[in-house]
Amino acid sequence: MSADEPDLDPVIHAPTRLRIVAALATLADGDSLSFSRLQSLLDLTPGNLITHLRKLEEADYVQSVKAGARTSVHLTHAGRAAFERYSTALRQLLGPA
Amino acid sequence: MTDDDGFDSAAAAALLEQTTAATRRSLTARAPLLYGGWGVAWLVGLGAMWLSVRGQVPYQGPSAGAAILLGVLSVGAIVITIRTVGRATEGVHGQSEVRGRIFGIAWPVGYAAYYVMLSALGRQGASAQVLGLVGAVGPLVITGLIYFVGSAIWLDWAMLAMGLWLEVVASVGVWTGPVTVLLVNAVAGGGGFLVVAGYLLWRGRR
Repeated sequence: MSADEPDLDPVIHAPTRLRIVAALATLADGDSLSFSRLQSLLDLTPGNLITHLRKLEEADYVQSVKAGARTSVHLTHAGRAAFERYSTALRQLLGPA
Repeated sequence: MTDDDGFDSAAAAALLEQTTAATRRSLTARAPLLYGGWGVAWLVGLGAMWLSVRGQVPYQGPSAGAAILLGVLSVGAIVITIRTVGRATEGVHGQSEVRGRIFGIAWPVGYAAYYVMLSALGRQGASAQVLGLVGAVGPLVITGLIYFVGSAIWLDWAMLAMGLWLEVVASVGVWTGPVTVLLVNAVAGGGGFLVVAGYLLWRGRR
């Protein structure tokens, strides 16, 4: 990671995970997105999506809920707060430039 | 795209913005298509109903052909609505899904109750004129109210404008009699949908 980004959360600061978190952050509080819709929305392979979701789940930023054959994904409160912090840090880094 | 160290903050900001915009666009139903479908159905269908009653002395009511055309066009608009909304909201679960379902059910429930009422009015001996007037204005009142409710759920100003407009058109049109009311509904009601469709299309492309 380069020196100009000391405050960027490394869990979110990776292209695929940033896209996952940004996409899930557009959902209203209390909503979730099916695994398959998220996959088609971001144009990811199932394996790639699972890998990155696992990292986000380990950080407690994302929760997957299985209901029957359907798996739905949503940001946790911690995940939403981390995304807010990340967005703010990005703006601060880019602001004065 | 790889998660390597070359991912700087400027690239991250651009990716964040692009993902947010693309996701919002994908999860939002294409409203101009919805308004456009209903605009055409009302303008053409109700226009045909008006043509079929124009010059009737005494007033007897719309022809079966015109009523069938309106029915077919309405089914077409319903199909467009269900497919467009379904495509946008597929895979979204939770409170939004419940809100959308309840809102969706309001239409068939409201219209079913209304048509039961119309048939009861007919059974009670209501004249062709009264049935024609109630039959023409009722859908505007119901549709307008449901749009109002939609605007309250989603804070959607186009829905609010459409709801308000339909109540105004209904309140004015009902005084013009069972023949002219159909022309008013076709032009002002159907036209209103098309104006909103055009506005949303223009706003989306700016």
